[in-house]
Amino acid sequence: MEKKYWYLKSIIIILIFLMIFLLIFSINKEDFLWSFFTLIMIIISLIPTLIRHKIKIKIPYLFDIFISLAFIFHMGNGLLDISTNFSIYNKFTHFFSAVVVAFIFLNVIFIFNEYYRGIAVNKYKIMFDVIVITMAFGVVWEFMEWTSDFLFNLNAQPSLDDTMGDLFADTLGGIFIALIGYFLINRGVLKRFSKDFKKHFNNLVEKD
Amino acid sequence: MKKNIIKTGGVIVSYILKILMIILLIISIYNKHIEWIFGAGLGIIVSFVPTILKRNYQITLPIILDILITTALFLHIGGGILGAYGIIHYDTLTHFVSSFLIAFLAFVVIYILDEYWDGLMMDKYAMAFLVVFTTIAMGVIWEFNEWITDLIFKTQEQWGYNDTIKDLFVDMLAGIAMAIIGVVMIKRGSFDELTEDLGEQIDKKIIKKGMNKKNE
Repeated sequence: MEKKYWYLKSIIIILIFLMIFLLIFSINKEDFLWSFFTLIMIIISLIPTLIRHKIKIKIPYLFDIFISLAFIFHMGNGLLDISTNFSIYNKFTHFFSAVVVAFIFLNVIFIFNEYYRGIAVNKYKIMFDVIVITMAFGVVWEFMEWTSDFLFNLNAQPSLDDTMGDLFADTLGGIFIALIGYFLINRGVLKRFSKDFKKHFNNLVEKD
Repeated sequence: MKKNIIKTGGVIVSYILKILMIILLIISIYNKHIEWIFGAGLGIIVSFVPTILKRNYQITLPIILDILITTALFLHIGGGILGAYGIIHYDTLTHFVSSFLIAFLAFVVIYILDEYWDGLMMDKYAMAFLVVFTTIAMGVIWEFNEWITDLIFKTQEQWGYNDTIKDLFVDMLAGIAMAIIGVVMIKRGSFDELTEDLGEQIDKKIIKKGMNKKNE
């Protein structure tokens, strides 16, 4: 892609290498469950790059950075146990992940709204959707933590207060991006972000 | 004809539940259970909201919505006054009914806005998707409410971590159930029938009025 984005590309490469380093660290630590999680996270972080190369859609590099950072923060929690010493760190990771999920859905909803015939809503409805979807994803995340706790006894979820705090952090993340989304829509930033989807959208969604 | 029979049947069911709630109120007065006298009284008033809306504002809520509101209130009040919350899975049942009610309400609102308002257009699958997420999010808000109540008033609204996760899971199931039922009903045209009266009334009283004001 454009040469002018070399600094963003460099950040992405550094983040991916950091994740690979954490993968090696987890293998060395014989924490194979987190080795597996880390591997999955690396693969997911590479999805935007794959879309760029295989489907030729110019997804903004910001997506890669946000997704990789969210995963690295979570590795800090699960693999490096940072939240044992700094309990606020766990809430921060939840907030940041919620922001990333909300930002992705803000873009997805905006793209569907712009280019898909089946959906046409105003910006306030988009804001509402972003908040409820982020909250729902927070709940799905808690289900995952409960299941991993149940199956592997990871103790990812020590208490009810912790769960409620996580859900609160997720909700704040959703509200934060919904408010930012209002300005991004008004100033046409999302339109610029998503303009590349226009020519691909009919092929991807409306094949008929 | 068939529509009228369903409507009449629904009204009878709704009134039977309301009478049962009044009996529950009398029981709570007899037992001098102040908390539930207030709870049952409030529940009875809320259960009459659909009737008040129809009489005073000519807004006809779908009869299923009326029954769902009354059932959810009846189960909650009955559970409290008769001690039914002690019965295994009773709490799960009340959560499911309440969440289903929220999901139904969300589906009705989105469907009517889609049908009558120019500002929103969604296909049925997008509606179903949003109904599931909205129901889960409302479940989270409900849990926040219980959590904050417990923190401030030192009550025991939330029974523990596993119970909260179960509640949220039940909320999600209710949302998914309503989403599936809603899509099937839209495909068959019965959702349109169900919301026809309310949709036309909202269109006349709110949407068109708003548009006229804007044009003035």
